[in-house]
Amino acid sequence: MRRGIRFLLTLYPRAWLARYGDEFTQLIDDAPATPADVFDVARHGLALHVRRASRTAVRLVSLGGIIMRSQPQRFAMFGAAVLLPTAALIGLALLKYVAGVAAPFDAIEPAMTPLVTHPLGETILTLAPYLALALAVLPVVRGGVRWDHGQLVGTLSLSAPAANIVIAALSIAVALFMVVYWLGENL
Amino acid sequence: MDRRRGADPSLLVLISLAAGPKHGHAILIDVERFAGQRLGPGTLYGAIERLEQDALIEPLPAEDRRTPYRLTEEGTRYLGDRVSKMQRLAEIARARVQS
Repeated sequence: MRRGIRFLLTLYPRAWLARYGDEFTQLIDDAPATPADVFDVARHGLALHVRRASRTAVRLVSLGGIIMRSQPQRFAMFGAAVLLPTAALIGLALLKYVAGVAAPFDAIEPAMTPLVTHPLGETILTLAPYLALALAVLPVVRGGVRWDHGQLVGTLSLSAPAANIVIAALSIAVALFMVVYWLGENL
Repeated sequence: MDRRRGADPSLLVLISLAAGPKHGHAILIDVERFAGQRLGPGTLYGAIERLEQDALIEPLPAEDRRTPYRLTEEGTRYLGDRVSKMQRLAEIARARVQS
């Protein structure tokens, strides 16, 4: 039984073992071990890992939020780069089939066809406007949830530079166009 | 089978240390004696870690590999407050059960 517990201890986080490992091992040696103790040690070790992982996740999300909020325009420009291939393809297609100016679309069509017809390329081009929208909007959104006199209160505010507004609007327009086009083709 | 859980391990550790400093195994024996509840090693050290982080207990120099813990002043105050609240609740519960 003790060997089982000692094995479980090797799976504990190193930082915890550095602080409590010696005295915990001594406790295992001092007390008669039962099957319930094996379960208890496994459960505690798992709880330590879950707590550590959740702390790390919270730190990463917080850090990501800080970086995004400190440079909203950069994220909007990154969003523009993500959106560009899809927007260019749609823009040139509209130019050809609506305005009758075929030359630009015909020039890129041979290069674009393998990309557009490949499942991965199609997926990337389809998801691009949503990713661009997220990159433009997330850095400028402030949100929070709190308890106030027994009520759950949510707050949401938006303070956006012009670049983020433009990229967000373009992303929504491209996404809407794609949805309407898909509905027209499939319904 | 009674599946109800026993008392809060952190409270049991505080009550045990109120009688004087103890290391892990001594706490286990004491808790089993006064509360009839056997704490698992993981449960005990989960409680010790939380109480130490909250500065309610503190370690003393290790003897061999056994580290004794004692209540801090904050821990003594906290335990007193908590026991008083529990006592008030127990009196209310007793009065209502008997009425």
